[in-house]
Amino acid sequence: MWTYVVRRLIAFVPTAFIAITLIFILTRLAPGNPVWALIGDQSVPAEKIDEVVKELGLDRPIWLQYVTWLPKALTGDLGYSLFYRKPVLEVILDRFPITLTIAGFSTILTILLALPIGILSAIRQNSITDNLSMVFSTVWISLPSFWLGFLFIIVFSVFLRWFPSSGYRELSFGAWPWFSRLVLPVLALSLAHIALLVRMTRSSMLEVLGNEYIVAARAKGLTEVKVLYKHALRNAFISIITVIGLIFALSLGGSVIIESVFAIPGLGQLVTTAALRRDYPIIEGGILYLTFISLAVNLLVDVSYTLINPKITYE
Amino acid sequence: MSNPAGALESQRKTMSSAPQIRRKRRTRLADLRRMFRNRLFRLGMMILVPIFCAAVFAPMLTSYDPVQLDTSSKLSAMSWKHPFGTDEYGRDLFARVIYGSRISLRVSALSCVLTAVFGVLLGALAGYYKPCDGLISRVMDGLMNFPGIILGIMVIAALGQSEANVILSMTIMYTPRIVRVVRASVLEVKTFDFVDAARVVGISELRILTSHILPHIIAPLTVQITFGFAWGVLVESGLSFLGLGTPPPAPSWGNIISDGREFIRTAPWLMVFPGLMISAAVMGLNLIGDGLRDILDPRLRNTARRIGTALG
Repeated sequence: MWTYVVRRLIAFVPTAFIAITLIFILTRLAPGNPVWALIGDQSVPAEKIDEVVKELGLDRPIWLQYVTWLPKALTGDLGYSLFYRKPVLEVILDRFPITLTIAGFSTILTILLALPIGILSAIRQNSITDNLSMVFSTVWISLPSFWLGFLFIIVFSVFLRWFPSSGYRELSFGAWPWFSRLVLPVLALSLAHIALLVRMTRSSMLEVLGNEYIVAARAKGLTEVKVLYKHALRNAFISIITVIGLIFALSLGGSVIIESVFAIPGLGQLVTTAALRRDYPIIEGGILYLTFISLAVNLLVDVSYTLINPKITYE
Repeated sequence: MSNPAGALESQRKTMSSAPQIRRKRRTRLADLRRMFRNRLFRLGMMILVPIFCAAVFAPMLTSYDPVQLDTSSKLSAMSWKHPFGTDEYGRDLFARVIYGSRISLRVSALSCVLTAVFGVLLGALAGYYKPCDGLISRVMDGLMNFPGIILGIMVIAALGQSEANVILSMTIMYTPRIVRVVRASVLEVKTFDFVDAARVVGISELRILTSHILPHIIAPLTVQITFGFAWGVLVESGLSFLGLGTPPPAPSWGNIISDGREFIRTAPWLMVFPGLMISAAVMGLNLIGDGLRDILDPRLRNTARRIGTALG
C-alpha cells in the first residue's frame, strides 16, 4: 500500500506542473500587456507605463518570465496585488477558509443525502421511491445553482424570513449568525451535486448487485443487510468515491458563482472581481490555489482507494 | 493490375456499393423512428423544440425590441401588454428572454461545433498515433484539473469580454472531455479485426482512420456533444451572470438574471422567467442526451458521463 501512495505522490508532480504551466500560458494569452488593462481609461504618461512594464518584468521574453515566475509561484510568492496593496498570498489566505467551509459543508451534505437515496433507489429498482428520485434528479441537475440561490433568497429570506439573504459572519460572532448565513448557499450549491451522486450511486450499486457473487452470498443464506453492506456497497464504493472527489472539486468551482449570489467574501468572489478588474496577480494566485486544493483532494481520494480495496495497486 | 491491393479495394467497392447504400438509407429512417420511440428523447424534444422555435422566430413572437428603453413603464409587473413584465429600463422582459435565447443557444451551439472539431481531431490523433498521445493526454488532463468554470473565467479575464471569447473559453473547457471519449473509442476500435483487414488490403492509414474508425465513434460523440450543449447553456448563463459573458445591453439568460438581482425584493419576475428558460433548455437537452445514449450507446448506461452537466 505504501508503495502505491508514494508512486501516486510522484505522479502528482507532473500533473501539478502541467496545471501551473497552463495557468501561466492562459493568463498571458492577452494581446498587448496587462498594464494597459490596469490603467483603463485614465491618461497616464507613456514613460510611467514603460516604468511599470519594466518593474513587472513584462518587457522580457515570455520564457524568461516563466522561468522567474515558476519558482516564485511554487514557493508561495504569488506576487503583489496592486488593487489590495497586499501580497496576493495574504489576500488569498484571508478568503480561503470561507470557500473551504462552503465547499466542505456542501460535499458533506451531498454525501449524507445522496448515498442513502441512491442505495435505496438501487435496492428498490423501479419502485415509487426509485422513480421519484430519478425524476427529481433529472430536474435538479438542470437547474443553474445561482438561479436556485436567488429562488431560495426570495422564498426563505424575503417571504419566510428564516435566514439572512446574504453576507458572511465569522464563527466568533456566535453559532447562529455563522450557520444561518451558510444554509442557503450550501443548499443551492449542493442540490445539483446531490442529484449527480444519487444517479452515480444508484447505477454503480445496480451494476454490483447484478454480479454473481451477490447471488452466491444470498444463496449462502446471508442476511440481506450483510449482503448489501459487506458485499455490494464496498465494491460499489470504488466508483462512488471517485465521484465524491469530483464533487468536492465541483463545489470549489461552483462556490465561485454561489459566493457572488450571496455576497460572500470568499476566494471565488475574489477571483471573479479580479477578473472583472483584470487584477492578474490575484487571478493567477487564486486559480492556482483553488486548482491545487482540488488536485490534493483528488490525490487523497486516489489514496483512499487502497483503504477500501487493498487489491488496487499502481499500474 | 500493378496495384493488386488497390484493385482489390475498388473491386470490393463496386461489389458492395449498391446494396450498402440502400441499407444505409433504411437504417437512417429506422434510427429516427427508433429515437422517437424512446420516451426520454421524445420528452426532451417536446421541451427543446418550442424553445428553439422561439429563438428562431423571435421577431414574430413579439413586437418589442429587446434593447429599446421605455422610461414610462419601468419595472411593471406581468400584464397583457408585457407578459413577463418589464425591467428597470422599461425593456420588455418577454422580448429580452426570447431574444436572449438566441444568444444563449448560439453561444453554446457554436462552442459545441468547435468542441466536436477539436475534440475529434485531438482525440483521433492521441488514440491513433501513439507519439502524440503523451502530450495531448497530459495537456487535456491538465485542463480538466481546473475546478468548475474557473478555467473559463481565466480565459475571459485574459482575452477580454466578448461573445467570441465566451465561445472560445467554453470550447477550451469542454474539449478535453470529448478528447477523452474519442481517444478511448479510437483505442478500442483500433484493435478490431476489420482494421487489420483493411491494412492488409493496403488502405492508407489516414483512410483507415477517417472511413473505418471514425464512423464507429459517432455514437458516443453525439451523446457527449448533446450533454455538452446542455452544459454549455448552464456555463454560458453562469459566466454572463458573473458579468464575464455576453456583454450588455445584448440580452442573454444569464445577464438578465444578473440585471434583475437588485430588484429581487420588488420585482422577482425579472429572474424567475429567464431562470425557467435556462432550466427548461438544459433539461430538454439532458433528456435528449439520455435518450440518445440509451438508443445509440447502451454500453454507456452505467458509467460516469453525466458529470459534465452538473457544473452550473
